[in-house]
Amino acid sequence: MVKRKIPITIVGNRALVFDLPDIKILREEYHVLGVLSGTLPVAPQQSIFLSVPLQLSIEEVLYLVAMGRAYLIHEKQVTHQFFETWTDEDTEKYLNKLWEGHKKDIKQKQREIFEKRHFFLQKTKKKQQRNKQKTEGLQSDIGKEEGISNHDLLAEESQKEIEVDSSNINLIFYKTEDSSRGLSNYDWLVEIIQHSDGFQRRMLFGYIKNHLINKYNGVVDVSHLEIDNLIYDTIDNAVAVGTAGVDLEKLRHRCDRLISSVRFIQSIHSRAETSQYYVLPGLKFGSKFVVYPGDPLRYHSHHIVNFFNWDEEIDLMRFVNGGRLAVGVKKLWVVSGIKPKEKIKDAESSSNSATEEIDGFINALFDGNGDKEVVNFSVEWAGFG
Amino acid sequence: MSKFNKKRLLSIYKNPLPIDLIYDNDITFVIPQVVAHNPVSWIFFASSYLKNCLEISGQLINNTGKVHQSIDNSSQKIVVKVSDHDVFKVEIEIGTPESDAIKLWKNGFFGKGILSRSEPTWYERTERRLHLKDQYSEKDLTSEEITALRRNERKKFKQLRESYENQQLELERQISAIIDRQKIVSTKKEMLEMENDLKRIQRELEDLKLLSQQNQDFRAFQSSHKVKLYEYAGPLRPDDNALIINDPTISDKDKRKLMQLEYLQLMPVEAFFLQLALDKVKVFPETTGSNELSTLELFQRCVDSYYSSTTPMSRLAGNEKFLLDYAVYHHYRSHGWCVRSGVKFGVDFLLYEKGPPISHAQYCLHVVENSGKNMEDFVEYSSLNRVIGGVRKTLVFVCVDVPSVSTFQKIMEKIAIEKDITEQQKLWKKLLNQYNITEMVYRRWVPSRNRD
Repeated sequence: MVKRKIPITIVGNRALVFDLPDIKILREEYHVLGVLSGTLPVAPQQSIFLSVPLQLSIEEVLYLVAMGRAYLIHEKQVTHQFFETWTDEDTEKYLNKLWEGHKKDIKQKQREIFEKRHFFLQKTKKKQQRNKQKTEGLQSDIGKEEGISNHDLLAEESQKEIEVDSSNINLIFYKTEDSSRGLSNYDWLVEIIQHSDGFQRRMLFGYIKNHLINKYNGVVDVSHLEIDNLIYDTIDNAVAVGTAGVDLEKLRHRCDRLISSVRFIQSIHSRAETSQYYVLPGLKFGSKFVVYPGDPLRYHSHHIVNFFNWDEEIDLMRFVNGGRLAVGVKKLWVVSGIKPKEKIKDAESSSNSATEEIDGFINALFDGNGDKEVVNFSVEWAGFG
Repeated sequence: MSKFNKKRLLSIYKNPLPIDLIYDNDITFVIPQVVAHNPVSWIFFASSYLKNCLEISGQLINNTGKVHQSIDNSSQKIVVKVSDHDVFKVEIEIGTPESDAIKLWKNGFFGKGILSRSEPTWYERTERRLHLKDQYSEKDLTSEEITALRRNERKKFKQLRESYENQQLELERQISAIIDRQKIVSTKKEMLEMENDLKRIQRELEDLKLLSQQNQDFRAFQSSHKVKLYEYAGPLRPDDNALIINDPTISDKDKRKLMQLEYLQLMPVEAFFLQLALDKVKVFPETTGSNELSTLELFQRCVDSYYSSTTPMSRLAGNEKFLLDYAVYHHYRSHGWCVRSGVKFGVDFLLYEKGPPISHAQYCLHVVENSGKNMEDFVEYSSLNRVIGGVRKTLVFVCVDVPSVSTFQKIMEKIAIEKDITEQQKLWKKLLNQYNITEMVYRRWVPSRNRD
C-alpha cells in the first residue's frame, strides 16, 4: 500500500504540520518529532503545554522530502488558489454539508435525551413494582386485573414523557472539521501541488535558499525571507532575490554541513540496528543533535552528535570540551561527516553561482544511496593518574 | 580545607611572583605586651605603637626605607631550555630544596611537572613507591598520593562492607537450611543439636551485624583502619629497575638513587613573561653550544610553537594567537591573578585567586580576537559553558583589540634594529600597549531557576 504523503506547510520560512493524524504518523512511523509550537496569544502556555502546529526543523523536512514521505505546501499560495477556485456552488455544498451535520447532531442529541429518560423511567418502574409486590404479599387476593391495568397505564405515561420536542433542542455550537480536508476543492488543489514536480522543486529551492543565505546574512527586510518571490516565478528569476554577492565558499560549507546532518538522520533510520532511534535538536548539549535509543519520553539520550565537513580542521580544544561534556552527562560524543566521492568534488568545483550550488544540493539530496557515505566517530575522555 | 592548613600553605607560597625583595632598613615593629588589668601597660602600649607608626610613616615619606627588587639577579637567573619542538623545559635538580623549578612553582605557580598533576612530584612519589625512602609523614604526601590513598581507602571500605554482607547472607542461608531440616527430623538428640547450631549461628550473625553497623561510616573506617599507600614491597619490576641509577660503587641497597625523568614544562606565554616582564630566565636552545636567546628570538620561537612550521617575522600580524594569549596572560598576571593553562576544561586559561594548592580556579578565560567578524556557530559556546558550569566556574570571554598590521610591523621592525636593551624594553611595552582587553562573562540564565 502506498502511504499517503504528509503535507508540510511552509509559513514564512517555518515548516509546520497542522493535522493531528499526520503528526501521529510522523512520530510513530517515521520517528520525526519536531517541536510543538501552537499557543493562543491571549493564553500563552509554557513550552511543555504547547499544541499544534508542529514545527519541523529544516533537516527533518529535507529528510522527509528526500525519502518521498512528504510534500511542501505554500500556505499563502494555497489560500490564494483556494479562494480563486471557490464557487457559489461550493459554498452551497459546504453549507448543506454543515446543515446535514447539524441535523445529525440534533438527532443524536434527541436520542441521548430519550435514552436518558427511558433509563430513568425503567428505574422508577422497577421500584414501583417492587413496592407493589410487597403490598401484594399483604393483600394477596385483591384484584389481579387491577394490577395489569395499572402497568399499562404506566407504560403509556412513560411513552408520552419520552417523546422529545426537537424544536426545544437548541445547539449553540456547530461542529466543523479541524482541517481543511473537508472542503470540496481541497483534494483537487493538493493533487496539483503534490504532483507538479516543478513546483515542488521550486518550493524546496526557496526553502533551502532562505535557510542557507538570507538567515545568515541577517536580512532585515522580512519580505526577502518569504518564499512568495519564488513561487510564481521560474528559478532563474527568483535567484535574483538575495543571492547576489553571496560568499560561495561559505555557502558550500553550509550546504555540506546541512547535507551531512540530513544524511545522518537518513542513515540512522535506514540502518536496522538504529531504526528505533530518535533524533532531536541538541542545543542544550551544545551540539547539533542528540540521539535517543527510543521515544524520548521513555529514554535518556545516548549520543551527542556534531557535524564537520570531511576535510575541515577541528580544534583539539573542541575534543577536550566534547569529551568532558559527554562524560559528565554519561553520553557519547559523536563526530559525524560524509566521505566525499571523487565525482561530487568535480561537480562542486564547477558550480560557480549560488543557484547551481543549491541545485546541486537538491540533486544530491535525492541521491538514494546517500546515507551509505555517512561516517561516525565517537570520542571518549580518558585520563591516567 | 581547614584554616590551619590554608595558613600553612599560604606561608609556603608567599610570593605571587618569583621576585626577591630586599629590605634595606628592616622595619622592626616592637610592641610590648598588654596586661588587661594593668592600665599602665595600656599607656605603654599606645605610646610605643604611635612611635612605631610615626617612624614608619616618616620612613615612607622620606623614602628612606627602600623596598625594591634586587638588581643583581643575573646570577640567579633560571635556565630554561627550549627543544626543537618548542617545548620549554626547566630541569628539576634533586636534593636542592630551592632548585630553579621548585622556585618557579612556589613563587607564582609557573609551569607543570610533565609526569605530575601540576606540581612536579614524580621523584618523591616514585621514591616512596619503590621503597627507596620509607621515612615520611602524612604531611609530606603529595596531592596525587592523597588522592590515591583516599581511593585505596574507599576501595578497602567497600570490600569490607561487601564481605560482611556476603557473610551475613551465608549465615542467613544456613539458618533457613536448619529450620527446613528441623521439620523433617524426628529424634530428640538431633533436634537438640540443631537447636544449638541455630543458636550459635544466630549469635554469629548478631556479632556480624554489629560489626557491619560499625562499618557503615567511612570516617570511622578511616580512623580504625590504617590503609597503606604502597603495599607492594617485593622485588622491583624490570621497568622499575631501569629507573635506578646503576652505580657500582654503591653496594648498600638502601642508598640506591633514582633517576630524574621529570622536568617542568612552561607554556610559551609563561616563558616569554618570565623573560620580558620579570627578566628572571635565560632561555637556551637545547642543542649544545648555543647562545642564550634574545627576547626577539624567544618571541619567534613562541610564535612558531603554535604552528607546525616557522612563520617569517615579516608575515606576522598583530592577531597572532600567541600575541593574543600573551596580552591576556600579562594582563591578568599584572593584576595579581595566578594564570594557568585551561586545556583540561577546553578553554585558554584558568584564573586562580592564589594558586592551585590553595583554592580552586574561579574563572575560565576564552580568548577571542575582537574583530568585526560575526560568529558562525553559537552552539560551540553553549557546549563550552555547559562543561564549565558543570565544574562551578565562570566562563569569561576575553576580547582582545589588536593593532593594525602596519602598526604592528612598524614596532616589530624597530625592535629588530634596536640594540639597547632598555630601549627595546620600552618598544615591547609600546607594542603591548596596543592591545586592549575587554571581559565579558557568559552565563546561562534560566528564568525559572535564577529567580531568587
